[in-house]
Amino acid sequence: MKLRVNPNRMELLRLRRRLAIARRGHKLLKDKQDALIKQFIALVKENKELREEVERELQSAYLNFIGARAVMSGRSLEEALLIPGIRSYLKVGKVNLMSVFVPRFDFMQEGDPANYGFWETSGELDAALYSFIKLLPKLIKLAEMEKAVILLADEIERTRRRVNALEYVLIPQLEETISFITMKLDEVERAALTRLMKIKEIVRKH
Amino acid sequence: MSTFKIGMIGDYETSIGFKAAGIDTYIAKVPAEAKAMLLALAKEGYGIVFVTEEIASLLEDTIDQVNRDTECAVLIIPSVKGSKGLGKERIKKSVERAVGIDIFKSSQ
Repeated sequence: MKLRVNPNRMELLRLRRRLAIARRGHKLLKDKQDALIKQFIALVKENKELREEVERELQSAYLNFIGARAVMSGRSLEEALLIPGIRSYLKVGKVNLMSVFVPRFDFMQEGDPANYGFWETSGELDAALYSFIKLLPKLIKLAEMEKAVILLADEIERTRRRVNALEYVLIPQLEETISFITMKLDEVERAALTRLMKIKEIVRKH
Repeated sequence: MSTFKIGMIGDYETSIGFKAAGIDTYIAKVPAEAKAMLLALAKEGYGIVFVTEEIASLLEDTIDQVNRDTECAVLIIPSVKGSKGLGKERIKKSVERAVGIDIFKSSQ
């Protein structure tokens, strides 16, 4: 589909400029897409491995807690953990990864996790608690990575749309319109030439 | 850098460990409740919300929405009942969306 423009020289120049810009934009976006995908694949690979590791360790941490519950009464376990002695929170920063802003989480903890009495609590609980707390930084890292994967996937999709729009819509349209204008101008020129020849002939006859 | 809280939505059994580690735990019994919780947490300055697979499988759309539109990162974790691979499934989906095909199929 060609654009609806007047076939004159000014439009032609304007369209040629637009085509040059579109081509350059297309090349840049294509490069960006390639780089994004490269980053994305590396990140996903890492993410997958980390997730498998975390899921495995989480499972064993759960088991530890179940073990702790088995040797203690449910009530005293609840009492021991009712008010956690430790506070976990995050400092969130932003990292620019290929112009996608992905979060960076810094994990912070304060307090003593084992703030319950020794009476009525078992050693298993302590072990379970510490295994869980050791696991947390990995969980945070996993959250950070998965968020980055999601954001990157979005950005790749967006970039691909733009690349395709340029490649399959805008650039062909501009090319077609430019060739249309060129032909039209050539035709006008030929028409003018024949008209001139004809006029000259008429003038000579008189 | 500002500080953010860490939250967790899930069943009671799973939440014990998280609670002990100083994470704010919320116990959800019905999906609608969990959805409202998640949306509220995302607004209230939580940096990460852990959601168990059981609950996450019922509100995938909400999780997508939160992950995409807010600063909050929602991470799907297996619950005490064991992993059903939903977390990996979602990584796969992201890959398919970005690249077009699942390029890691052979390595599974």
